[in-house]
Amino acid sequence: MTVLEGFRSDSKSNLPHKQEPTNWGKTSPSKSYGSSSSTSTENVVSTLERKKATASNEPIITTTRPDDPSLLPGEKVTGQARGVTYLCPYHGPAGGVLTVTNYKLYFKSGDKDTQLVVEVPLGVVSRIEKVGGASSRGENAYGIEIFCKDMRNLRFAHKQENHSRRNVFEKLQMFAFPLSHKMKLFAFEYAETFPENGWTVYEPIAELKRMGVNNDMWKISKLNEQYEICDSYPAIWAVPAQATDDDIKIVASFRSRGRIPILSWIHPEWQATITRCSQPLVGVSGKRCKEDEHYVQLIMDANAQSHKMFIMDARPSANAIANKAKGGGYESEDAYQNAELVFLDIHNIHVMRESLRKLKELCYPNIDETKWLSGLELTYWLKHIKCILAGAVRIVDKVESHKTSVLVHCSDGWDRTAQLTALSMLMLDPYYRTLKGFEILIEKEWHSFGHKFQQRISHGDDHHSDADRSPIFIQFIDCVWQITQQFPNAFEFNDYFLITILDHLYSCRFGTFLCNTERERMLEKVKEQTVSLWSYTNSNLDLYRNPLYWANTLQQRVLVPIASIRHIKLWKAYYCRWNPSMRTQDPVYHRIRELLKLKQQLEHIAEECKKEQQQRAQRSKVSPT
Amino acid sequence: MNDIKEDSRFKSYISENELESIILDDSQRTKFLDGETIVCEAQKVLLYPPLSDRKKYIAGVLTVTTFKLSFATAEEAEPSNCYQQNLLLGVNDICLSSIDVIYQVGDRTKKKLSPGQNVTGKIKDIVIVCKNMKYLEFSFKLSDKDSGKNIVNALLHHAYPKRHTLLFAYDYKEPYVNETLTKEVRLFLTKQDWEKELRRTKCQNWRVSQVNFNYQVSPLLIETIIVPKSVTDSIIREAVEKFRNRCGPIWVYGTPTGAALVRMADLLPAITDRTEENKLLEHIRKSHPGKRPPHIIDLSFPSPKDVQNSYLKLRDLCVPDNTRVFKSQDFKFYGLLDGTKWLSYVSTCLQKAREAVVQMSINEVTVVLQEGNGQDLNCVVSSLTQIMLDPYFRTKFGFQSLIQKEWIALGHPFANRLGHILCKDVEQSPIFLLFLDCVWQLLQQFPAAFQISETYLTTLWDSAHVSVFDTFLFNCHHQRFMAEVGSANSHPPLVLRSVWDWREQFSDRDIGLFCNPLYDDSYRAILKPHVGLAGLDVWTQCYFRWLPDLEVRTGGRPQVDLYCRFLVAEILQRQQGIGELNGRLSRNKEEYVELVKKVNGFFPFSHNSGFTDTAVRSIMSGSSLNFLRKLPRNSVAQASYVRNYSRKVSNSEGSYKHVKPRKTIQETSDLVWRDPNFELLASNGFPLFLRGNIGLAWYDTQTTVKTHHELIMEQIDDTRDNSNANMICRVQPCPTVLRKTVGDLFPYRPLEESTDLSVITITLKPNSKLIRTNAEVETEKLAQMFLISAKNICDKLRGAGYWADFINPFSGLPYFTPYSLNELYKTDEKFRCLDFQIFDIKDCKVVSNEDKSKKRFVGSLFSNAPCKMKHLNSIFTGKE
Repeated sequence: MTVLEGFRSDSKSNLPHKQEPTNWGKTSPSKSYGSSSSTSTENVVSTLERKKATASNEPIITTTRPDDPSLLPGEKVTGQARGVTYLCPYHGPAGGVLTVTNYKLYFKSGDKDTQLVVEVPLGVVSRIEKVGGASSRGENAYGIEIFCKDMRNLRFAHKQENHSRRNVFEKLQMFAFPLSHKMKLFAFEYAETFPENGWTVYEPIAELKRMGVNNDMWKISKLNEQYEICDSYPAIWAVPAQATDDDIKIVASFRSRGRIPILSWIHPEWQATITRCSQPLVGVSGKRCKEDEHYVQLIMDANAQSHKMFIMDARPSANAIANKAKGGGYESEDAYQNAELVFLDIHNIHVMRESLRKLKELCYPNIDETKWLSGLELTYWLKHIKCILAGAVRIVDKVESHKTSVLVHCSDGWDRTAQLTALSMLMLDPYYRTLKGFEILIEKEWHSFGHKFQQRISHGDDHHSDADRSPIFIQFIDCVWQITQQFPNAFEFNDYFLITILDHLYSCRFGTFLCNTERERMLEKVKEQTVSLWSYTNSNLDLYRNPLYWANTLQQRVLVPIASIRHIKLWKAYYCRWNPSMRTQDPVYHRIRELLKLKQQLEHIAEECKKEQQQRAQRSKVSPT
Repeated sequence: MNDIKEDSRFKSYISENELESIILDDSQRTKFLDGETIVCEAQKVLLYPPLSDRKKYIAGVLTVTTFKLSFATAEEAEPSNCYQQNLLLGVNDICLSSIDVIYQVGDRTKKKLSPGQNVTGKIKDIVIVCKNMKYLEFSFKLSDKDSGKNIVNALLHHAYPKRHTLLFAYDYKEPYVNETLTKEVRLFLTKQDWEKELRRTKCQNWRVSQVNFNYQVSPLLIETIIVPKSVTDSIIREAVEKFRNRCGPIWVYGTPTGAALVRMADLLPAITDRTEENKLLEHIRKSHPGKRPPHIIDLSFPSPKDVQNSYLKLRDLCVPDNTRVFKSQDFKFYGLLDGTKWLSYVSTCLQKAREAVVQMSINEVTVVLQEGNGQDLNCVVSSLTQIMLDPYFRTKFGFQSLIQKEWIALGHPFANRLGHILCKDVEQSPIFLLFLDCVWQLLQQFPAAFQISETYLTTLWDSAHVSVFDTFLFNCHHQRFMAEVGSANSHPPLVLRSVWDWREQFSDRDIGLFCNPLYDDSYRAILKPHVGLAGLDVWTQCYFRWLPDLEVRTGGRPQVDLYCRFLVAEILQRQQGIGELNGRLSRNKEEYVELVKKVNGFFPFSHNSGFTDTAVRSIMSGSSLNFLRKLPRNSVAQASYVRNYSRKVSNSEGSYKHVKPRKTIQETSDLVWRDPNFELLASNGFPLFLRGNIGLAWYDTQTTVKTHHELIMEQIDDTRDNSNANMICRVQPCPTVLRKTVGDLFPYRPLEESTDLSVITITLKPNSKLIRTNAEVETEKLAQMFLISAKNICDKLRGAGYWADFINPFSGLPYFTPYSLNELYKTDEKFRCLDFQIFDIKDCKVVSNEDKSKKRFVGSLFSNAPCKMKHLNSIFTGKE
């Protein structure tokens, strides 16, 4: 780590440095955790990797020149510009070499004293713009500006001669937006292998069996094997055992995009369920569908504990009513007897996108301390987080305390619905709070049930103002982080795991977050041709473990977070992480890791002593004096 | 907001007219302190829990005394183990001094009642808002006519005394001896303390001046002050005339490089010529080794008034009247928080302190803090600067000494700022809370740097409003001095009780929670906190703890805290080399698991008991005897039972304070005290004390005290018949025939032929009824008694330089060195208690068992102390 010495934040330099930086890897999680955030501007994930590579003395690729980046298997340098100035908002301009590969942008400053490295996977890039023309005046006026999806912007200044930025700019455009240039995403070229195979983490049938399906009330159905009933649903799903295939087909025609109510989770003790679907196609005329009503009745009947059920419509009621004009709508309580409809007042993807945009303005590049709290208020980001959490808490309350089943939907049932079901399952079932369980939760509620990652993130696509983009998944991870804050020992993973997931949500290095639906992923052969993010994380689990996690059956099963804004905080470690003065490495975790390490050492010493004693005892037995 | 959980403790609205009169048993009734008198009492008063929208209540008796407002109820008490228990105040009691505002509440109206006012109309509902943000809502609608009015009038009169001598501290009769105080704090009231501090900081060119001896120069200053060497007493005398509050520059801290920290007030407003100030600054410059001019930091903003306004707005956010207000606040919380400016004031203080730190540490320049009266923000910033600079002030001892130095000795006007006295021109302002909040922010950013915990800081703020302690009662030390002397015609001398004597208020278990388990004593770096608003948080525990709905059930930071305590305890045990006692460890683990299920977000200020089930309760109440029976008898795990049993304390006695153990802190083991983290282990060396007999603790003082005074030694040839006494100790020389056996018992200590070897036999009389019905339990109890007394005796003997040890009846191993190299000596009946008697028959010495019929429990311990009664008794009584 020659880099970054000069940029260590204050708080960091205060921390006692007891270990050598080379002592890295699986054996010293505390160190890895600590230094992961010590870099100032580069991507945290890639830093970790590079260090791992140096520690294990396995240079992934031979670097010929010191300015060249280390490359991943399948990665190649495509363009390079020298004499580029990186306009760092925190440390001022720094001159150096800018390299573009088919995976990332890499800048290394030439100044030996304050070496600065910027490494950004191109998947993160949202928009690239040229700044100034050949005739622009002023220092550093000519160059390119890169807008990223992960809360930062980068500016590079080029020399105003020979169109020095042209090559880099073109390469950036090409490899940041491969889909717009009729090329494949980097994930399809990435060739690293891992000991674990992440694609096998989630097996739909195994997961359903874990919850006790098939049983009297629920059955596994392969009706959608060819994705004919619903192209955005998985091939395997669980429906009420009594529902006939013909009925299901009629129900599918009454639900928006054929997304019928299917099982997400079933209570292990009483049979209360969480099911999810899209809005019913009621329309202005208030159409009804006997089969749909019967189907919902079956879901209710599947739970003998309650003669009632709740339909949670995630939308604000005004939005739900407005949807009637477009042929959608919501279940009327007349038609669905014994069902109570609740609106959870969560806003749509456009509101969320705008909210995060404001948050970025507030956090990047510099924070105006005088406007911090009021600015935070005006982004409404925390309020949205609160709404989602409150909705999930209500679902949990109904399922857990009232033993009633809950049907969740929004408009199409793949954004807000996914947030709500995934969060409530996380609160209800400790299984999902383990590392692998959380991966399964994401695979299940988000991937297989058709959250449109491609649309929401727009991998490799240059339509930066696309109205389908929205930070729905980030919001979900933020909510998870909020719960981990309230229950610091209930989760097996730490917030670094969450940040890693978010980093690779954009990076396009892994196939995990590509495509919109299971069907698309099958057609694209994602599983065969790309590496899963979980292969990467599961090969390195120690990095992501929460030292406080108490894996114990005695631990409480259900978490009920307080969904009051008084408890909801901004996740500074994610949103403000590019700002070196804001870097908040969690000192508590750091200290606990130290303590754990000390304990291990002591245990080790005790073990040694015991052995020695035994040996001595044996010796004295052999030769009694 | 979450749906409010059903809570069995609170009755929902029933036919309230049928409320019967409340019958309280002894344990429920309000307890009174010595010197406390009842002013007024009202029956059938309803207490609404916060944010209940008057839909739930507890009925009880409300009492106003000269000390507190007490609410006693027949409802089942909260499980006390999750709540900090104050020995002076019950769970539903508040000290009158902590009352800030009383409102009369109608259906839609809320009227502030002014202090001293006499209410004549009927009063149905009142709301009391305390200075520590506690919120109480009472209804008198079911109580007798006029009782509401009487209570309110009593409060309006007694909670706002007009004279200082009307405070309860003057009436409190409980005798007080502060023997352990010097271990807790350096008071900075004497010349020696200041001299020590000057030496400790190695700051050159400053001298101790006693110019203010007998408060000749200024009653607002302490008698001893430190000034530049070149400043003579006459210069000081002259200079103070020019300064507000007669507070000229005073040294408070310095670094070895010569940078000093100096506090001073502004010049009097009438003085426009600053030469006098400049002269003194010149002296300060000369006292710097490099003769560099000092850096002056102006602290006139925020003023006490700004802080008070900010605090009131913040309090509005913490005491919402009903759920509607709560929700509307939630709706725009961060905007409202911004409007309070509280965090921005916190930020300002931290920033000024950081500026001072940078000047002193990097630029090595003397810093002069200057502020209007020199007693408000000066205290805050000066203390913060020292905390950031010097790891000493981040220990409990250092922190308490720092408050004594900066706040008490240098005269922060606590009586005015905390509003102890009702007086028109007094400016109330929680400057001290602002300081504690700043420290809390530092604790968040540097959790390993502080020996004190969040709970400690919160408790300190609460304690500032308990009018029993003198620490935060006066405006300056001179006032305290005068009060202590007393005056013939107005009041008797005041007994000074320091708040730092935490045992006055809390049991060891609660004091144990004052220590921060994350503390790393090797952390000595200068703190460079993030001081911007974006790096600060709201102090949830202190501000929101009165709202049960905001408490994270079985979650929150206390869970982390608990885990760390557990971890630290494990580490310490391993370090001490007794980690081999696996039984104890696994028991700890079990206890931890139990606690994890119970501890909520505001612990130990939790009022939520919703999750406590009966199974957990039985564990808390120490029904560990059943647990014990399931274990193999000779297992080491029994040692853990000992600890568990010993923590049994009967709480049902008449008053809150029934034990005043002061001499019980014995240095039981060097290892414990050598360890820098020993504070974590509370007074007797164990890590976690929790209410209700749970936690990772071993003994508490109560149990050791019980056996303490019964130790009367007698020699075997003493013929008096003591057979009916509860405990008999006998000492006799060890018969040679036993010497070998004794040597085998304690293999770590070779016995020399020539040395004395005494056997001390402790005989315990069982409860005759119990021994018949439940012999096993009773025997365990006696064994336990034996262990405690034997340990006590051994401690004394070891203290006197002798070797002494005994076989722990629960482990079968020597008590003080439980690891023998081999584990030959597992429990064996013959070693358990050497119950023998020796007499001569002709030429033979007969070693026989004592009279078996009496079924006494007998145990022996061994020492190389000479077998002489007088000598031994002198060791035990400490008298020659």
